[in-house]
Amino acid sequence: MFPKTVESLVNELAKLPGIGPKTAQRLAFFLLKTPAAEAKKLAEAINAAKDTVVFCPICFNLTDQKTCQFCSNPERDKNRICIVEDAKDIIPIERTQDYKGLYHVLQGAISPIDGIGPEELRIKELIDRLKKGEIKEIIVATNPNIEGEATALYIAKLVKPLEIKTTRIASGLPVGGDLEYADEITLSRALEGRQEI
Amino acid sequence: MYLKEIEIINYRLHNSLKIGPLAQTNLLLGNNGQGKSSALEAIHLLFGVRRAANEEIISFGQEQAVVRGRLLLDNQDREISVCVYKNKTKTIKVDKKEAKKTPEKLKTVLFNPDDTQALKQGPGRRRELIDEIMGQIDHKHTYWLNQYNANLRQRNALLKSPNASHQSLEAFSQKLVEAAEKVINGRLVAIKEATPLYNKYHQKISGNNKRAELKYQTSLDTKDIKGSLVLRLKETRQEEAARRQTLAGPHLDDIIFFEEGINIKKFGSQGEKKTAALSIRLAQYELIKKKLGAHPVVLLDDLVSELDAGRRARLLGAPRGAGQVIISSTDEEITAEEGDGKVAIHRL
Ligand SMILES: [Zn+2]
Repeated sequence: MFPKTVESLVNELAKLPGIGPKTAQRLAFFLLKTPAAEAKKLAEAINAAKDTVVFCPICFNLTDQKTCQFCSNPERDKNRICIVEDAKDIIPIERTQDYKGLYHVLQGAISPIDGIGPEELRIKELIDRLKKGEIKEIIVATNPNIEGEATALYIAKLVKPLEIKTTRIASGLPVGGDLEYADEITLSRALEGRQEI
Repeated sequence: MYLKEIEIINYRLHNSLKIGPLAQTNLLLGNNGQGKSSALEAIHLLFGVRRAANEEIISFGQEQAVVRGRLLLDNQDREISVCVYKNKTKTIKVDKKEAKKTPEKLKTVLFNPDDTQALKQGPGRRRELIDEIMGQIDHKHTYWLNQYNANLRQRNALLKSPNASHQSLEAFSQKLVEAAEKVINGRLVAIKEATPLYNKYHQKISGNNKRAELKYQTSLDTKDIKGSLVLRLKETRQEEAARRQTLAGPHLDDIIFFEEGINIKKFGSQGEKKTAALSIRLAQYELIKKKLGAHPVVLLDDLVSELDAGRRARLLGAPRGAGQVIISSTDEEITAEEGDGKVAIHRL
């Protein structure tokens, strides 16, 4: 229906998360209508990011330096690690301004249905980090859905023999479940959980 | 709650169907194959119950199916629309604004000739039935059921994978056990509340005094669900590894329908099974009514015509009261017999 180049642009856009075929089409036509310089900027930004951004060898956060902004910052508390699934999960935690420790990005959660086991994640690297002895506490901030909860429990069990304080971020919001029921569930979990504190 | 008009768009064979204005009692008339059942199924969707996959529901060549209802709720005119899309998503709009769920008071009970299958087939249909009832009187039950099922799928996938470690299995078991307890407790509540009503309607429809009851059948100790499931999972570890699936939990339980201590599924006649299926739906109706303080809408799918006149009169007499009823049938005779003068006839 369209020239081959347009079709391949649509196909590439449709591979992005959250973008269906219709949205991909809309984005493609939008890009075709924008001035060439603008479209080039986008292409260059993608290229530049892909060329310069790498995973931090310590925590697997994204960085364009040797190590990431947290690992290389001497001000951060080196005794604590907050464990997240994805680099983007760091943003809301940083926004609270309450956390001054380091991070560890697992790059996913255990999901047998998708063929993702602990070996596919950066769990071994986490244990290696913990064995070096500097860490006194880990805070597991994986998502509060089935996969995130199982990953948190898995890590807690692995860490137990190392005798490092392990806490789970309190959330109660069932991201993976039916969001429509979240309010009541959040409330009832909060009520249930209040004795534990 | 009073339904005034229903609009069905791109739903199975209905490209555009308007039913209305609706009365207290409504008769949906049409020959076989004209889509009476799918019209009732579409109305059911308006109440938040989806009985088939989106791809099946959406008319051939279309991207979405819409069911729209104009109704009176708490003396206010409202418009509810439910739209399902090919990509498995669903949107709900209340007065043209997107909403997370349909209003709490929008509840329905569908009487379906297919219900009798629940008394004939494996336990899956009976669990579905009790889960639907509990979900309507406490929607947290649906949440926990979804949690349990999602956990179960992951755990079973893990048991099928070649390198399932003990630790991974433990991680998924812990949450499975938590959700299992909620699911079983929910079902026990539903059964406890439904049984006396079930017995009442069973006696009414059958016209005898036989004691009818429901019992939950599980391999677990209902007084210590968590503890006994943990134990069962430990005991079946070897067998689980061999058979590559989870071998204990609420997904294997059953609900037994008894009449004077006799299991109807095993020993009941066709008529007794039909009576049991009707009675549990009537119990569901009354439980919802108790919970809402209002009558749920009753949908009767081509089933009144199956019954003899006596049973039919007793059945229709039971949920009538102040509730709204939509009956589908090929048979126009019914109106004369059951109508109370306020019957609206809608031809497909
Ligand atoms: Zn780093």
